[in-house]
Amino acid sequence: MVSGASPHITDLLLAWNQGDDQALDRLLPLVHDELHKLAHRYIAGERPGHPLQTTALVNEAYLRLIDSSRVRWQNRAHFFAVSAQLMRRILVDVARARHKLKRGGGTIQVALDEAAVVAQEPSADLVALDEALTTLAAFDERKSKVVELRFFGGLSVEETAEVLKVSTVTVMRDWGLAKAWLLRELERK
Amino acid sequence: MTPERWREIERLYYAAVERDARDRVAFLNEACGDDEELHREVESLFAYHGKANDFMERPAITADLARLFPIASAVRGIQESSVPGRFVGRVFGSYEVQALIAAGGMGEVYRALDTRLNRTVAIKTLPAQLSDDPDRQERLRREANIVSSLNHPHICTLYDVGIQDGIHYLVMEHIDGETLQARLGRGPLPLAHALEYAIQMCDALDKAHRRGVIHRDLKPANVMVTKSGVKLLDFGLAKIGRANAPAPDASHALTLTSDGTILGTFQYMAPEQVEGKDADARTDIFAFGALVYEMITARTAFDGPTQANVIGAILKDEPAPIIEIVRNVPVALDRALARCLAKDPDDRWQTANDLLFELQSLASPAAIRVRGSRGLSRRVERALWMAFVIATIAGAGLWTRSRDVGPRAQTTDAPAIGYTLAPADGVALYSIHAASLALSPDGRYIVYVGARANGPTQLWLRSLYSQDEHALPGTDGASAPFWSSDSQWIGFFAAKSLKKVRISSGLTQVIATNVQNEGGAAWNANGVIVFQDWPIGLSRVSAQGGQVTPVATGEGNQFWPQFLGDGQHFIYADSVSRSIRIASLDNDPPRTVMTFPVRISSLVYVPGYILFIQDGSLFARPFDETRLEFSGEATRLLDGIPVTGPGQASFSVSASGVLAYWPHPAGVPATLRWFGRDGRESSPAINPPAQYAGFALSPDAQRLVFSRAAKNGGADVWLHDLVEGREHQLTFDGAAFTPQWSPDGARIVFTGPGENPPPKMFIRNVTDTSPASRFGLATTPNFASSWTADGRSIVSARIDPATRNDLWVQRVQDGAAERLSFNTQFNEAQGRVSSDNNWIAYVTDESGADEVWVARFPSGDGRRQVSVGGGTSPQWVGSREILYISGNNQLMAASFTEGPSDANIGSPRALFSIPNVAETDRLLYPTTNSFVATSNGQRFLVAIRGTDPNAPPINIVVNWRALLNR
Repeated sequence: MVSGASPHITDLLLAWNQGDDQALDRLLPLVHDELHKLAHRYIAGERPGHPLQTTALVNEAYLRLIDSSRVRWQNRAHFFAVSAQLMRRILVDVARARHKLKRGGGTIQVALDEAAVVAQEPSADLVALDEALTTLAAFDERKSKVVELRFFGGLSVEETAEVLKVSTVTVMRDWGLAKAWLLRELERK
Repeated sequence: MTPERWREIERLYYAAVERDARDRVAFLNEACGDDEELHREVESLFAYHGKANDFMERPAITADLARLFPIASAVRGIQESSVPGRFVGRVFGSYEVQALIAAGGMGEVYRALDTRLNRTVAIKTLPAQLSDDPDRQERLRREANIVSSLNHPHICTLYDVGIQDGIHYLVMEHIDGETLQARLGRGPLPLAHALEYAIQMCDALDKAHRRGVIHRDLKPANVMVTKSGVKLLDFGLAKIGRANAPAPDASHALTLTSDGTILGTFQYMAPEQVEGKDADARTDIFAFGALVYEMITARTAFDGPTQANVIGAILKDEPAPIIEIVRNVPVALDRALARCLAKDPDDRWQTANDLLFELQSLASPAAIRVRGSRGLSRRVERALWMAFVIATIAGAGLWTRSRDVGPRAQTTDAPAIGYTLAPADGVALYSIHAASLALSPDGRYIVYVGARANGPTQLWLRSLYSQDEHALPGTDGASAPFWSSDSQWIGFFAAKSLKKVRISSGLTQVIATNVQNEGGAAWNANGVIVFQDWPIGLSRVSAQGGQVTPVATGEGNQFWPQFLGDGQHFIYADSVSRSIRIASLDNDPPRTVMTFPVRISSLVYVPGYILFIQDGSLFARPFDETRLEFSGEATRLLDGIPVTGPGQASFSVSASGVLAYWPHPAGVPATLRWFGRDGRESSPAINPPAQYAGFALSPDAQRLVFSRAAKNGGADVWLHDLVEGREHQLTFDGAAFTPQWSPDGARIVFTGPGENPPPKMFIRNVTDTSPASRFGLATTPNFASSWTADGRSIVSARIDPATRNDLWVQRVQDGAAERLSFNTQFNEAQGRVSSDNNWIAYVTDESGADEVWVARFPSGDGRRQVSVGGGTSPQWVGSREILYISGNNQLMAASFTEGPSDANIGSPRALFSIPNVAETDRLLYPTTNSFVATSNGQRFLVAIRGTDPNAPPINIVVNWRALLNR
């Protein structure tokens, strides 16, 4: 019924892939729509006993958005690394917008209305986490990547090890220390 | 922070993590020397090491989605999933988790390294729901003492137990071998091996039983075959027998599903377990018998194509005689196994010890000895039993919620047992706007509304205790079945009549005509039927037929009547006050007994309880029939039952204790398919099947707008580009219906919820994302039917309690509204205006059946009937032809010209047949249509009934009262 591939989105993705950060800004509203739809479908279609698979969702988001013959992923690892990054940006941006909403600023869009229903949840936390993660990347890039891949990308320990080309033990050790450091950072704020 | 500094911190941090408390302090002191800051940094990070265990353990998107879509996820009862294998790399005490071995209902099993003894162990983690309640901890300690004296070479050894960060874990021997299940997959065991293993297992059971521990879940997957014989696993679900401490809250032998009922391997369950009664040592003996049978024959003793069949086999059938399958089985062994498998526990071996003696005497005296030492250290023995106990209590912890007041005599400690039931082959369960299934009061039958792909809906009757399943004759077009109190008759609604059918003979009779039902009915022991009679309220009639008289009326709707035990009083749901009310056949004034914060759902009464749905969850509340009021608080039984339409939810309970429900929203799934005037189908169709609440083609036929239901029962408006094949969601509240296009194709009008009921119309642009604006004022539900060709007015249908569906016209500019003059006290709906704005075609059922009429617009004069023999979904082709669907599902065309004094309407002729056109839900959305035509009348997009490939089966819970214990 829906083919999903859009030349427009693919161009933006390519540009972003090649380092054009502004392309991502233009990409986000388009992707957000798609993600919104997908998530709805995922939640609506979920069968009891089949937990939501984050990587599956990310995979699908990508396959639907891009014309994969044009964007050449060097390998699966690259694909996941990029999608985790994109996921992080999307979620943090949504959290930022939602956070602004609660404080009365910004335009209200129909799509975000739904998200704004939840008053309690700390969208601010996600923004703070993103900032802390950026700080961590300054002196330990690999740990920041581990967190990005595992928390935003939903990758398992094995998958993360594959992407970063390190052992699973290394991933677990990075993960443990990164979490401790991040949590401490967040609690200090 | 520089990278070099950080690396130093990191190095010290990891070193600190690997040491225990005493060593750590000394180590850091030495390593940091004078560098106070370094020391502080490492210490503070280390403090967070423990705290951060659960931090970010759930990937962002899983958590965020639930936050982003709270309504959807609440309705679906989404459980926050944990990532399996998440403990890999974690350290529990001095054990380093290395890899996930298995994940099951009761937690996960990992391979780990015991860093102190440098050996491989297995670690079983228990699900995180275990509470840290001090009472439970105390009971754990007490039980541990009782249980610490057991150890056995054929029971998986436990080394250690622990709690860390709220997670209970058991450390066990890592067994090198395979499960018996895997081994049997390759064929049966040689008799001598089977006997040897049987003796080992029986010996283990005997030891356990003497200490009061029952396994309750013996099956091939729980037996490991190793070089030194077999080992029994997962005594973790054992229940301390009556000989010792009082039983914990509940225990269970199978995998829990998210809603708490049990679906799992039944094949080794004893009959008393299947019936929900408590288990004892003899239950284990039954399972043991089934296990040994399977070891020898490589066939399961009790089998069947469906879960229901397996249960039936366990309760009634004998397994195929062993001697017919494996020739050299000694007769004595056959007899011994037969005695294990006796249906009545009193007829079985009463103790494992007796059985062991028999088995040992069967084995050749020289060969088989029980191997393994029995001299495990006291510490290990204690640990072993603590593990059993923890897991037992863990099991109990999984079940327990705060117990609510209720007649204790009714509740049992037994688990809730459930299974699924699929409809007959090729038949799909159908529910449009009324309950689609009903259990007989004696719990022996279930009736459901089903349809084959190209056929009408019918009532299907299925026995719960045998294979018998068949369609009841004379029930074409049936909906909303309900049983007589003697379980002999089924009442139902078809073709605007109330009928009944006798299940033994198939005899059908009409009870009353000209009734419209969408909200339930009940039949008492005196042959009085009370049913929802739209739009009057509730009416009564004798099951023999006769006069229909109202018994409960009022503003809004009265639905879901249920008789109480005395057959005089009945409860029902009142929509406007959102309450449950109680009334009686003697015309006592109705009285409210309960009010709901949000809309009310269908009700079911069983002796002692009233069941209802709130927010997708099924609740039971105890009800005192002598005082006619609730006697306690409501207990939540299970989740995942969507509520649609007028509070309809598909569930039924029998007085015998069986509960049936269908976790699927009501509605007819349809695919949209293109046809030409010659009846030939062209592509592409719009798949997969979905429930549409209205669809409309843009004037240039390039786009489609429709309202489509989501799985949770809500519906939203979508824009579908027919050229590019992509779609785009326009509304997100889950309650938007019947969109219609403006003549310039730039805007749509649709019906949405607004801030308060009733549903209202909204207009919005399709080309941009500016928000919709409310259109007009109405005090009754208002559904858009069409936009006039000059773009100035919108024709809509309103639902009025007195005059039913009426057609109105409203000016777009100022919302001024006028009720069209041809409306009667019957239903007028589906109004569409010709392209010259002079005529309106519409549907009315004043004759008792739906027919298409025309009238001048907007005056309403000169009305004439167009269709004969039924007609719905009228569409204009310009102003020269009227298309519609006839009562026997043909696409009809009638020419139309305006003469000097009157209209000339040609005799309608059939263009082609569409036998399985999807019914439109006109009772709720009076402008939904079964097809749309292009403006030149050459092509038609028709909704064809399809089956939802993902429709779930019916869920049956054998003993719903066990859910009260959760």
